[in-house]
Amino acid sequence: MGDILKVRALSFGYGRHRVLDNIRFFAPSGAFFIILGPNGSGKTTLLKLVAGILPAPTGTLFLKDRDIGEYSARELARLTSYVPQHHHQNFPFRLFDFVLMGRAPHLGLMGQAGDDDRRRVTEALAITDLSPKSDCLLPTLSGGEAQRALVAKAICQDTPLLLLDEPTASLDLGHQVRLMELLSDLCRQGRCSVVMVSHDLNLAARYADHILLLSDGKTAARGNPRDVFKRDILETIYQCRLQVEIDAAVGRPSIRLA
Amino acid sequence: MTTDPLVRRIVSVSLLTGILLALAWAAGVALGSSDAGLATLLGRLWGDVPADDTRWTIIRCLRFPRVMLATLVGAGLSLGGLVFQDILRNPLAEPYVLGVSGGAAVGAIIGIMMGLAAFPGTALTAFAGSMATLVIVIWLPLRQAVLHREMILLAGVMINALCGAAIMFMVSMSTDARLHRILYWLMGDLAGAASTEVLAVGLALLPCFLIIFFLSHRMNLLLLGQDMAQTMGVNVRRLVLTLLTVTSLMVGLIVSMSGLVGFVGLVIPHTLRLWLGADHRVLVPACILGGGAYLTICDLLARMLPQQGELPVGVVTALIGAPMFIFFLFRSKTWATS
Repeated sequence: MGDILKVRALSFGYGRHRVLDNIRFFAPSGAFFIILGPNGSGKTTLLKLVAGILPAPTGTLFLKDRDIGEYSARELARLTSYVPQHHHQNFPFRLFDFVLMGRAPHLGLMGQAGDDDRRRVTEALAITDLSPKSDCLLPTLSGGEAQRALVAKAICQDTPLLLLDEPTASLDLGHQVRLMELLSDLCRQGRCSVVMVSHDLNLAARYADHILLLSDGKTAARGNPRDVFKRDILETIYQCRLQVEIDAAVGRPSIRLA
Repeated sequence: MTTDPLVRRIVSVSLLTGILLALAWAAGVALGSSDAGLATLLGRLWGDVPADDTRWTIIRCLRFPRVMLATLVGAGLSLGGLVFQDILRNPLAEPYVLGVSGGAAVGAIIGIMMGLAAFPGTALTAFAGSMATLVIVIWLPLRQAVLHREMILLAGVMINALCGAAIMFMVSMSTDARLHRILYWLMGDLAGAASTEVLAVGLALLPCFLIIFFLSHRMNLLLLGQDMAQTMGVNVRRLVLTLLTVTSLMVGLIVSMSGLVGFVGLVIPHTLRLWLGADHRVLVPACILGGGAYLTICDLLARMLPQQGELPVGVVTALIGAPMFIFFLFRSKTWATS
């Protein structure tokens, strides 16, 4: 399988302020790719560039070997789906209808859905543990439920690339693990590749195939979890004392405060 | 009937609001200070009342165009409010609050002072006025990398104040004879509409209604936020620009015909949203029909309530709309939690 996403010498800034500097990485199809880094290191900006929300300079970002600037919004929406970091919804959409909106790039002008679309919504609600809330209005959902609703919407969009910005941030421990298992399953089944921004080093160490560690807009480390999670690298970047061990049961690093 | 739940819902909601509108029409045509009534209308249909009957002339030349104008104005202003609330994702947005109506009013008064006819002369200057405020209030902030919706609302409030001052300035400069007319017009005035003008406005508004209806699913996506809409396949910039142009054309036309009628764009979309949910594919037809019915009733009350003469219809929309809105707001469960 080829690379669904290629980033080459990508630099980006808002006005004179440079946020990303010479970033390069490849995400193979079916990979679980996690972007880590301290606050303000450019993670979210990078994800928004990949999602097509911010305009990447020509020749730096390729989806399926085609420059992202050449895709129309609708073509892009069939390739990538995006789960934002914060999302407040004050308007009274029903949860089912909200998740159904994920089908929009596959539907006509008025978004008329068929039985297959509704079946996908039911399935997405089931695997994100939201089936009982199907008829609830969005503003009545808790923070964690709203977060999972966004994931369900993205799964419904049925794209080869799934982009998530800190999707575990407002979830309890059990739902964090279940979400990571779900994303990992989607990758293993070859249904999609995942590129995710996170702050949780241990979840990343446990589930990621590839890690990109950003610091101040530059690549600090890149590779599989065992290569990236070195004590000296992490201590320099996060400015605190840490211990890194290899968890023998799963063969992956585990990080805790020293 | 089709089994598609969306189509069924649109049809049933449209039927329901359509019945409301039909009842409002019946009341608007039948009631008034003269003894012309439904009996005259039905009699004319059966041929019992001759075509030159005074009562029939009152219905045909006075009440009918007025009811139609009230319907068009109510429909357009409700739809305008719905569109602005969608674009700004702010429940407070409305053509009146955002200064777009004010800009149209400045344009219209300039047109009146230049001695232009109501249609198309004043309508065009009103459209120019509403477009000018819109460019300042929305288009300039949209050009920035990060869009602050609060900034747009604040800019709108300021532009509205500026337009208010400009209007008062022009009013104080105008001659006594025009003063009464302009002041009445400022509070909203549906009297004196001619059939041909109303027909022209109707023909101009119809494509606006259709365009907004066909964009209603994208408006749903836009309500989730610009980033979300973009990643769900919506060309956000093009959609917002289209909606803004169509809406300011609509508002400019309406203000030139009716003056400033506030509250309709706030009360009708909110009330319908609390009742029907946030799906614009249902809300757009409901706003057109329901908004039309609401303003027809308000205009009827404006004609009937005073012993002599009539009230500006803007007074009635505010008198009914504000308490009704507060009532719905406190009863609503979804707003209490957000």
